[in-house]
Amino acid sequence: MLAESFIDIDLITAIRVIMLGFVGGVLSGFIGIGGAFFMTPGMMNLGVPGIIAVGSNLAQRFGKAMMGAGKHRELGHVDRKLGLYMLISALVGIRLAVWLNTSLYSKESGSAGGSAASDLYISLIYVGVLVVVAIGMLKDVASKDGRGPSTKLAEMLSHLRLPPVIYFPTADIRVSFWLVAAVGLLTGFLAGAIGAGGFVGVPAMIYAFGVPTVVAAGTQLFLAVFMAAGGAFAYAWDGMVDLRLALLLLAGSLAGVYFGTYGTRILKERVMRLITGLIILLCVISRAIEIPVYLSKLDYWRLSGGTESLLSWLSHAVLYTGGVAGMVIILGAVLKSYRRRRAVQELMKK
Amino acid sequence: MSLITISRGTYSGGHELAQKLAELLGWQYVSREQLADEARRCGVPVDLLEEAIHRPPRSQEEVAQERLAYLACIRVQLCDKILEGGVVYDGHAGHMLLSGVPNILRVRVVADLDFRTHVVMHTMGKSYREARDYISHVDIDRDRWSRFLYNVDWRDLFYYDVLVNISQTGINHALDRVSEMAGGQEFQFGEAARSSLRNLRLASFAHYRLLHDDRTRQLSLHLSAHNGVVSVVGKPQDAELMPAVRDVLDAVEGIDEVRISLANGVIVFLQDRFKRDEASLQDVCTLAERSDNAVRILRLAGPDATPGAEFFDATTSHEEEAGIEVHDLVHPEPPDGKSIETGDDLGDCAAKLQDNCRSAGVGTFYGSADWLLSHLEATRTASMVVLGDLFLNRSVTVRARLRDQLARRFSYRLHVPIVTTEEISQKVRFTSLDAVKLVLLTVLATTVSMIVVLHQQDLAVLLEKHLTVGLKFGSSVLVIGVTMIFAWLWGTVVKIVLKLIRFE
Repeated sequence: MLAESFIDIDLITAIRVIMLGFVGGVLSGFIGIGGAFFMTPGMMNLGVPGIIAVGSNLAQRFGKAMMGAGKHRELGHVDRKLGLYMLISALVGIRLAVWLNTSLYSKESGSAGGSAASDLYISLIYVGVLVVVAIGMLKDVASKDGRGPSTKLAEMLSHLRLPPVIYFPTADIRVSFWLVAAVGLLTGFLAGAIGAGGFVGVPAMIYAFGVPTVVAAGTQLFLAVFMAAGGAFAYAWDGMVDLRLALLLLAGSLAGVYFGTYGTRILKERVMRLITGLIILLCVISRAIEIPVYLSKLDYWRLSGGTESLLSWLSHAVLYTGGVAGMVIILGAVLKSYRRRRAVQELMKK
Repeated sequence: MSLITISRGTYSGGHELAQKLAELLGWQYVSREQLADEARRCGVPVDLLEEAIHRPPRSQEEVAQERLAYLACIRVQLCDKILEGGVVYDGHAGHMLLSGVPNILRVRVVADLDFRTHVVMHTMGKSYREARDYISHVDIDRDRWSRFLYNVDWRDLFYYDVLVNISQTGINHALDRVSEMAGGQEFQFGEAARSSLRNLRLASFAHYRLLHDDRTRQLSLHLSAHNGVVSVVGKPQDAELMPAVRDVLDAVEGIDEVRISLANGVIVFLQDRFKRDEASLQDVCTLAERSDNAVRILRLAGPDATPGAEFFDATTSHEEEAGIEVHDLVHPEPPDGKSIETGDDLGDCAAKLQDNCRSAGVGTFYGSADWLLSHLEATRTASMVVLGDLFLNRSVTVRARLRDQLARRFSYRLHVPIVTTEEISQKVRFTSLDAVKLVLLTVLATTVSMIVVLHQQDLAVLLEKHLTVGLKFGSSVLVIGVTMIFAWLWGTVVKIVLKLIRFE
């Protein structure tokens, strides 16, 4: 019998976790962020407590980011000063998120609800943040001008000049310390709570700070290494990282990320946003379906055992449909585009 | 046929110097404002561009096509005027507009701030403070404009042949000195400059036409021209529109052949000599194919220190050809397309690239590494730079050191991967060492996995919540350490396997 918080992993479960990592890796390479939005709920659907899923995902994120950050640093795409300022506040945010998460978990572990309170907390943040991201992306696809998401709030924030204002040399920008600290704190908190801080960090750097896109991506990856390490360390400190899951996820995601990245070179940005938005939306719906189950476990809402099972099954189905369909669409589109391109190239030669 | 560019701050006397110089030499005076007006008449939204310089970089990307249309339009106009005779261009960083054309006399005019302030007070009737503010604002706007258009700091003195401080020399003395310099042999357009100008004009005109056709205006394209052959690199996702590109270009006068490639970027391959059959060219082609890039071959033939320079000396004198020099195969080639003097077969190399649909054109660069850097910075074409066999007239040790220094400078300034041909061969060729590494690392990664899988119970005990700080720290370090080791082992295995199956 394993420790209370860890699930038994047999061969089938191991293969499912590796596949989870692979699909997450493809989506992560395609979207350019960690892939936690798929892997964390995927693990929760396998029966892994949410807090362990987040901690283990942060550990695999650390490994993956470590393998990719070097290239950006070599190319000078990393503003280390900005990264450092954000990292300090991000670590505070992570610590806060971990403390909240472990407190919720500790309070009711051993009670009838199991990890329900912590799972509910993670699911609510997950749904709250990602529904905004998904709708923003889909709204953007639907808009005729295709000029990207609204940047009004970010532009308003960019005018904030509360002293001290700091100069960041690589990005060549001047930003209020308080704005940087606030963004770092929020990024860290989200990374600690659900393992997905990049959804806030990159857009904030681009739109609110005015950082060039490539530097924002490089700095975020630089940050991700330390944030993921900090988060994994903090969760591991409280015994909330399942190393087996982290390694199995890594085995899948390190292979999948290359295929996803290849997809970005082939597909048009609008199509990419559409696919990404739909996948994230399906992941959000999957998590939202589980919320009544957690409420029921906490005795806030009465559901029969049959209904709970049905909702859990539905949540599984939606998540895997979204992830696998997304992966098939991406890989299929890559193959189709590749063939079409070869055909056109042949035409060019004539 | 000659060109003098006058780059200046506002009210520094440069405008007056340019006008008087044109009058004295009997050349045509062309200002930035004239070119901008003509661009407006051609339908380019110049006002939108001028407004865009005040926006953050992200928003500036929204007018990228308009920026290209503006540059293409004014390049064509300026080239046409120069091909008619001598031109004095009055604007900031005008030489960047013709980046790559040799024999331009680039003059930077400055004046003391007090001198400029008093001129503004006198001419515009402003107070001292108002005049200072006015100068400051205009200078900042000009700086932004140059960065927006050419991605350079136009105030960097490195970009100029001569600096004139009008407040020290006075306008007449400056006029004498600059006109005297302009008469120098090194600032007369030779065949290299004329050919370069014609190629630039053709590429710009072709691009301008593409940007004014409804079917192709939104396409992101890289164009270069060489003796009537226009090489176009388009994005893979725009493959369906490439026949339209061909249609548009077929109607452009002066184009003998259009070569279209599909790629996400351009690898600039620099070397002293090129041969069609050399392994490094094949490796670069392989890399380009796997990474969805096209290849631009640029032969380096700097005025000093390279075998190209020896060839250069043998055909023309330094006095005739000094200065900046990028141009495309200006030296006459024998009928079989081979340059006998250098042992090059650039024509064959271009054909080889074209066979693979990976051609972004070929050319020769005459000049220093710094000028090449400026050229690459301004044109923003390179997504990767490959350094091949360079400095061939030096010893092997010196050659390696110089190339390493060059790589560092390029890397610092260009922010794109700078790789050597040896690194590429390591990357694209699956060697026996790779096979050994693959086996060894797979065994190690599997061992780590097996330890974890076979000792789940022990691991769970190790990882679960501990009560002492020492154990908490130990289990946290274990998680980080094992993850790091496994990521490296497995990540490297995946990379080698991808190399084996030729997936990059």
